[in-house]
Amino acid sequence: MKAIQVGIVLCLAGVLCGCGAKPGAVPVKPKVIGAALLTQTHVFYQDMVSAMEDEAKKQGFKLRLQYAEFDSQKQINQVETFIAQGVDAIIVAPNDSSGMTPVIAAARAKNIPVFTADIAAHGAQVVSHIASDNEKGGVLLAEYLAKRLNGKGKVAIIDHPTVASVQERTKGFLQTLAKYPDMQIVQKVPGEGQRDKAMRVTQDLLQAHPDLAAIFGINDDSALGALAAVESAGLQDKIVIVGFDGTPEAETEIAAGKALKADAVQYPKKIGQKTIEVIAACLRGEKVPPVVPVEVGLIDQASLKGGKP
Amino acid sequence: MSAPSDSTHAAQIKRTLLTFGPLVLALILEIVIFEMIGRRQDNPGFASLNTLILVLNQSAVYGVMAVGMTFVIITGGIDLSVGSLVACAGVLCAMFVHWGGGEQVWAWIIIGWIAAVGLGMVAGSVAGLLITWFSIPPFIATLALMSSLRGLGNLATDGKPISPLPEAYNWLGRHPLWGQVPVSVVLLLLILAGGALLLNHTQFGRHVRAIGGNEESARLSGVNVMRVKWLVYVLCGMLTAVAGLILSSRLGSGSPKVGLGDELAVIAAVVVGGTSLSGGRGSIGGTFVGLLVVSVLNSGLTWIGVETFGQQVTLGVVILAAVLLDQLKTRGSAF
Amino acid sequence: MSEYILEMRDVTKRFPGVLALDKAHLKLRPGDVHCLLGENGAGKSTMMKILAGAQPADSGEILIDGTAVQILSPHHAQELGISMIYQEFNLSPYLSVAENIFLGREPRLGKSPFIDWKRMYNDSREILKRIRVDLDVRRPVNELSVAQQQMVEIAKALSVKAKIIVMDEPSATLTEHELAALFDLIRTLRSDGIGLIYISHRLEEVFEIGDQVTVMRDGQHVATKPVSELNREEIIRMMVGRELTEEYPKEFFTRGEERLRVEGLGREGAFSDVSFSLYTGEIVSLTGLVGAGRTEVARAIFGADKITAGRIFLDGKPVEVRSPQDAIKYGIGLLTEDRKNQGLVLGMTVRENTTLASLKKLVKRLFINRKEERSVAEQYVRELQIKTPSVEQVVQNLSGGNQQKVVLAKWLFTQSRVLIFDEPTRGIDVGAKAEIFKLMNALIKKGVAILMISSELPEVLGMCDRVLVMHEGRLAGELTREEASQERIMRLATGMGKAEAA
Repeated sequence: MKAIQVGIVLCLAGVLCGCGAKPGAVPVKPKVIGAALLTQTHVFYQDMVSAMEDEAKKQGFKLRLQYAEFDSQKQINQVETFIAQGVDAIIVAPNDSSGMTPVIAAARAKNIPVFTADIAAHGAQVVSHIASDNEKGGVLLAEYLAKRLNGKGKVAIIDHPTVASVQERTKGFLQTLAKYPDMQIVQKVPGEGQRDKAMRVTQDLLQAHPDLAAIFGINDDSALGALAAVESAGLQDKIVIVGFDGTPEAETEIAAGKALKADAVQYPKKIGQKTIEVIAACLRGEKVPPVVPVEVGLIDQASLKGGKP
Repeated sequence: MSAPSDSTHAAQIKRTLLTFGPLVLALILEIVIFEMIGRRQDNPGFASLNTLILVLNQSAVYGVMAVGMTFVIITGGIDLSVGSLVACAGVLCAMFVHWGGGEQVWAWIIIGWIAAVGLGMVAGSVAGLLITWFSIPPFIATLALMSSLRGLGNLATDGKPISPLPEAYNWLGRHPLWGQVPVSVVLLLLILAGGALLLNHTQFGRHVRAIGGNEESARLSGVNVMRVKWLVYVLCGMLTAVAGLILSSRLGSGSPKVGLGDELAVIAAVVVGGTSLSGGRGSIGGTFVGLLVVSVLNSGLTWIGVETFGQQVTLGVVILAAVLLDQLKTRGSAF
Repeated sequence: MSEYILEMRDVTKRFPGVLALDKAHLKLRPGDVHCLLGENGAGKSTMMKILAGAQPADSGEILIDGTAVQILSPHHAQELGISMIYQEFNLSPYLSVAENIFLGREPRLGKSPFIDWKRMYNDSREILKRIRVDLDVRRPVNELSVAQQQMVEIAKALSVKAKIIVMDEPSATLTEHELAALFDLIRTLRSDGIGLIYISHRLEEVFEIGDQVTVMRDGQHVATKPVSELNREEIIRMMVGRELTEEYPKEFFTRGEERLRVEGLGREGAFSDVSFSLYTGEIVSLTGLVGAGRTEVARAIFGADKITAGRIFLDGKPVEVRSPQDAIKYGIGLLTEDRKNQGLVLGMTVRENTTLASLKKLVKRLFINRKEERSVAEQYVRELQIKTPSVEQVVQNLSGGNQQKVVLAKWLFTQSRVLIFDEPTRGIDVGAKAEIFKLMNALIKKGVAILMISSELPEVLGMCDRVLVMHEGRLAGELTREEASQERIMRLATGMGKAEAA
């Protein structure tokens, strides 16, 4: 009888929010959260993880960290290990947004709630996705460019369309720019988010469009690659570059008044903290929203001189 | 008559123990250590059947590739293109399934499988031809192929993974048979058994070992060296495609980016299993144990919470230790 | 000062299961060429490995110039003035003669890290002059002939001021002419007071160059005597430990029908216009100087190399042999000159080597029938008296003679009707040689036609019914057993036969 009751409650919980909040005899054992994140090498993730750890300590969770280091196969293996260990919740920052569907489904089948942080997983049903409001970042940058160029000019994007967060950035950027009829997107070129590739494609871009007015690099490596190409072509006074992420290097260039004029910045610590908070809420049995946007900001030379936002 | 054959049996058992004993011991040691550390972390259950199945499932991709690679390495060759081919095979199958839409999913999946395995055989065939007919060293030929295939996969997909795919696509990599054992694990075990039979009990396998041992002697004994070597690369390509299908199914997508560096992981498993990079010496059984040593290590380290960088260091140490052990053994038996 | 430059006393070395050396001893005088003889496995090479510091002895003493020494490593042996010249040279192929001579001991400019090239070249020339060898010291050694490379090895030995030089089968790969030059050099070294240990299977050389002979058998010292007090039969008896009834156990059979005929066979750049026939019931020898094209003819008949002219007939019918597979199909077998690199897969077992050329016969429904395979191998081990603990033994561990028998087993199992033996007795000891010859007799009796390529004139004369002599890629002449003599063969082989005929 009891077992059936528990089963019903479990089913309900699963229907409501997918959380495996096990009611009844809760042991004193701390909840264990497995996190399979993209990489350990980016400052962004280091910041995110340190906030996660702080928050987990506060909530009394045990956090197990693993990193894909750009290998999807390794990442699903890590998630599978978490499932086998019977962790209470799983956080994933997918290396490949589309390669996580089956393994997330496998976790759901074991009633383990899965959350994505920073990068979304396509086609997978996660409890909640916690990430920067990338679309908003794109909007902010488009508005900045429109203002700076007085609403006209040719714009190119150094793109990396396989990453979901990038798709959101460009979406917000394009939608906003569409409001300005005199501003046109001449080309979207793939830079794979890497600086050397971005530099190469920008060089080609400058050849094809000598009258280019602005470049949007979908992350700072793209923007810095574009900056290098623009500077070596001697076009730094003619072209405005905007980037995304606000890495220290990008900040330095912006502060120095280079062609890179502005950056949309994410707050990785806020993402990390928010993720754990959402999980805690979920494990308490509360309903959590499917998407939790984390605010983004914009920096330019002026804001950097006035101190960090 | 029975006495000498008994003694050869005993000798064979002794030799097998001597070959695999240390590795099996290392394997058991690994499992015990991980279980012990796991328990201290209040995290038991590593030494269990479920975990074993998990590890096997996780090693299916490398394992299937490693069987083909074992053949290649025994001939004294190497195939560096497997990592790229794994991606291409998955992409091709996913393309068919995606293209077929939601209609008759299984028919398209099977077409995708056939196409991918065909692609693997063609790719292996090209490598084999370059190596035999044009006498290009295997390292160079497959290095070139590695780059071209990686590019082809990216070209075909514009660098984007192919998804979403219907749920049936996950069957190969995850569907549990008899309630527990994933299809991929069954497939891995079948391919290992088939590979061992092929290597040890057929004319082809004997010729593979003879070529690796001494190519000129083999040729002058009437072995069609070119054909056997070519077939070895075709076999490796075919198995790599199967591995690609498993991987793609496990990921639920066809991504041109997967498999980067897989060739090294696979070669490592083969070498840890006692197959000599200079050719002639090696076994599928060894490869299987080598694979398990590497996979259990990776899973175990994840299990006890050692992060990727630590895993990389440990893996390097284990590879070195295994090869050193092998060296000591051959040095020991020289006297 | 001791009378002996080197004394090895009661040297014992035990390997698992084998007593390789049992209180063996050796005494070498300066200025002596001391021939160390014995069948394979007699302990010669173990003895020399101990002397070279490659292996430690279990017990025993080594004295150099009367002082007891412990030889710790090959490097230490070199410091003690011991130099080894192996069959396979230890030269670095792309370095020059001088660089090889001074490898690891390059003279420097003062204390700088830079090489004093001038001194290195001068010193090298000096050494070469001393042994009366004319070589450009700047030439890379891979451009040199085998004989010249051997000279470089010897020069290297002298440059480290070797007092004791060990030569292991130095004549194996040399032509007659080169061998004469080597002997001249050995005489020079002898007059310089260097002690030489000379290992060879060719007894003729012992009588030509040796001063003392030590014979070993089964790890034990049998006898040491001056060459002048010995004859061939005595040495052989001491080596084999029994009276060897016949060194060449020739049996005669009546000549049967023609088995193989080649007409106008040629391969560009190797040989041309070679025609001859092989009949059942006879052994035909193909001889000539090294480089005359004998091996090339054999390889062409076997399909290992392409022919550019001529035809091959088997039992009177023309056949096309394009590959070794074809040759095996037609029942032609080739026992190559270089057993280790071309005849055997050393890492495989006796069983696997025996069946390698005709595995197809053992395949039942895709799989090799292991049981049958083992019994086939065991049968040949018995028939050919191959000395091996089991058919699962790796052939690497067998002696030269037994290895040759395994190669023979392989070709017997293919049911070869024509067998080409290329230098079948090279590197094989006297006892095993006679066994191989007896096996040839047995084969002929069964109707196999045999072509034997050999540089050893005594065995050519001893075993063959007819002799084909090659000179510079052409057949220079054919001699019957009755006509053949060392002198006539040499005249044909050196191209003088033609002049005589003209």
